[in-house]
Amino acid sequence: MSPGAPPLKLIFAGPPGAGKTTAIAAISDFPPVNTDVAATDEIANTKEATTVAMDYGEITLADGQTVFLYGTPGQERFDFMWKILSANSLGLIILIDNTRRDPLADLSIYVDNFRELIDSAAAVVGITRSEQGPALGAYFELLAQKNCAMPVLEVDAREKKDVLRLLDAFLSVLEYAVA
Amino acid sequence: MISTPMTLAAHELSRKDLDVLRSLLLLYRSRLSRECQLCCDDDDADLHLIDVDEAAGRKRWETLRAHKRCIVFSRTAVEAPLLLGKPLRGPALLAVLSEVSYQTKQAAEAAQPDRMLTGTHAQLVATSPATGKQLISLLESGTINSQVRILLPGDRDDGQDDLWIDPQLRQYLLGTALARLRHFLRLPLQPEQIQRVSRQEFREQMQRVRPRTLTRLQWFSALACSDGELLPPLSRSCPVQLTAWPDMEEHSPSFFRLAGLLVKQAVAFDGIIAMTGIDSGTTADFVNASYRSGLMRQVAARESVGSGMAFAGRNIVARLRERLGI
Repeated sequence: MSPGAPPLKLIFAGPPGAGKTTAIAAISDFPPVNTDVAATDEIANTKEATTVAMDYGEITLADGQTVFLYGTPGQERFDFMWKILSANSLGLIILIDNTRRDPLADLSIYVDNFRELIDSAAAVVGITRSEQGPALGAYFELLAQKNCAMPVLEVDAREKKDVLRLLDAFLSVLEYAVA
Repeated sequence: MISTPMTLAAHELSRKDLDVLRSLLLLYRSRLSRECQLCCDDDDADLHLIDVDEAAGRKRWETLRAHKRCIVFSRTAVEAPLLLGKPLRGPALLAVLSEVSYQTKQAAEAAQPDRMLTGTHAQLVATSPATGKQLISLLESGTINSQVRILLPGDRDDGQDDLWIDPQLRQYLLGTALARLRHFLRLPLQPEQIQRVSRQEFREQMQRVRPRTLTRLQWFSALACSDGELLPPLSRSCPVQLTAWPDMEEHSPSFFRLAGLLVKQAVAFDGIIAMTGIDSGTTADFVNASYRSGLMRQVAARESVGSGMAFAGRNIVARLRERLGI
């Protein structure tokens, strides 16, 4: 990395339990550093621990340059961090848990909050636990209503091949994003 | 198809829900088999949408339910023949309005004794326009405009491997991968291969097979029928742009890269090849499939934003791909 060059960042966002920590673990050079604590709010119904600050992982490229991977806290009360993390980011990977009460509303929140990053860089949506809940078409419809054309793929965040497919879609969009 | 518009009265809806309803009706106008006109608080309307979460709405429902067709709008699970949950969402609204259209049509057919047979629909064969056309052409032309079951070669008796299509809900049901139909989709369909089914039968099949977007089927069908040459309506010199990411069943790195470019920029055919390095045949197949499935628009040259520009850190993308092995 040349001196003074901004660090490369990739953001994973999504509601609690959507698979952000698992997806980062699938590609990071080391097990992600996280700040999981026992969940005490409504999240406790779906998982034992949840991320209250962020997940952190790294990918080191062949020339030694590092891409930092950040997983943002899923709870909306941490939305002040989303903008901080977005600065100078390569883009955004949104993971949505299809078994939540209103996963389309979840996506809507992230698209609205990260809209600038989505339009200026690259973004993809990964739908986890897709065997239940709304069909993929509902997500495409929501994005069309928001005039937002971005990839939406069904993924199992525990499967590395699925995470790589999602990243391939992300990189395909990023490659031709006009800076 | 019933051509007279259906009037829909909205009772006790909040201003916000009313705005959303108005927008959705406008958005889905082309997808409804019967046009729906919104009128507020008119007791003579064909259909009544009633918010029953407040006392006034429940009272109105009690008054209307005996002699009017009502859709109950609520955040809770209410026992009602037509129920629309909160918040108001497009697909749910489309489904309930399609159900109403279907019921209306059934009632009209039942009232005509000489057409009783068509009302039983289970084994109804689609009419002659289907003869000798590929599935993608039938979908493009709107010839398939109600729920159908398409019999595939080597069908099992339980119909698990049949292809079911609901053009109103824009969904299809198939118990296997589309890739297995590649050859079949290139063949012209014969009328006896297409059976009309009821909405109830379609719903029952949905319990067995997860629905997929019709756009996925259209995209794959058009791809299967493409021969690596740009289709006549498309011009090599006219820039094209994707309006949405294609719902692709398979992971194809070439198609992902083409979609990545065209979702961000409008580019002419030769420009696409120059920017991506992907061969002409693959590019033509992708453009044809996206165009025929309604995901691509041609852009006037002066509107085009694709000027060969790419992400300033493009080499980072290449290095990330190398590192991740994709």
